[in-house]
Amino acid sequence: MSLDYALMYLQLEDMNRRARVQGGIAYMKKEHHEKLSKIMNIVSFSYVGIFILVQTTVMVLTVVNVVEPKAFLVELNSLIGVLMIFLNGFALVNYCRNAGNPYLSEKNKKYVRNFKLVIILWNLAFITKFFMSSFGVNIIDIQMIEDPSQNDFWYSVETFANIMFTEIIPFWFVLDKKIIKIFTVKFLEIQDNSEMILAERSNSETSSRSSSVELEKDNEEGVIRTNQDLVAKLSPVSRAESAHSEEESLALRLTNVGHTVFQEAVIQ
Amino acid sequence: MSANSNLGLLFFVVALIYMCFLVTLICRTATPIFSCAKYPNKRPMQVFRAFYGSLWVQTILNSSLYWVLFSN
Repeated sequence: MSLDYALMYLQLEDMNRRARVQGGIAYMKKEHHEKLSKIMNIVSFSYVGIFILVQTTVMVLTVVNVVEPKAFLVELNSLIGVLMIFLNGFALVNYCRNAGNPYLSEKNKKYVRNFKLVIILWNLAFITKFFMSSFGVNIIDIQMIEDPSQNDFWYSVETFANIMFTEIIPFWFVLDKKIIKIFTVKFLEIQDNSEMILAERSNSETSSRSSSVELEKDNEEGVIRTNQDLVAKLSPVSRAESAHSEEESLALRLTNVGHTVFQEAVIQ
Repeated sequence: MSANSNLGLLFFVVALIYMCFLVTLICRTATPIFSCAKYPNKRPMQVFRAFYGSLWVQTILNSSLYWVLFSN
């Protein structure tokens, strides 16, 4: 259960990174964060490895009656407690890193939130386990059933509630189809979506580039046309023509509703 | 009803639930194996395999534990 728990945090970190736009501090300190997450992953999985080894050894020792069952439970709880603090600290660092970065789509947001809910549920299950092993009943108390004082219906109900809330419900949520989709197909679809968004962005960039190229072409054509007009105006033949036309236009400008205002100007 | 029979019933129910989980797990694991979709061996799939491998071990161990407790 602890290995699954650690893997869920690893998946959450990966999902948070893929489902959100990496901007701001997350983008600027990308290399630094990648290094940090690598270190955290190595440390957490080394810890889980040691945890499993110690757990197996203590289990064997408990079976051969070298270690008492209560000591086994204390060891289990302390190891899981340290793992919980460590992984939640890591998740908090990742949360702070990605806080404020928008999700690539609503679908991504929904899946990440669902996954976070499952992780919260697993945390609650572990806390209930600690509580029940300290103050309630657990499976180790089974030998006490020989005692007539424990011979009651509520002992069974408490044990059932313990198993239900600490094992079966967290297991059920993990076996849910949504979680499978997050881990496999849907998660990759999310990635595809982000790739699609990136592709769309690059397409829009290329289209804007092509439109800007067209604009440049139009501008060039306009400049060529104005240049040609200027050249035509500056040529002697065109100058004479333009002088004549200027006179006409001046005459027109100096007349008001068909009447010549300044005759001498026209004669000149 | 004595406590022993109550506990026996409890372990039987839990063992049955774990059996159902095992069947569900088989179906869930078979879905990506027999599906036509391509699953690249990238990080999400590696994590998925590790996660499901661990779930398999855990379900089998828990299921056998509760069957043993029920039989005792």
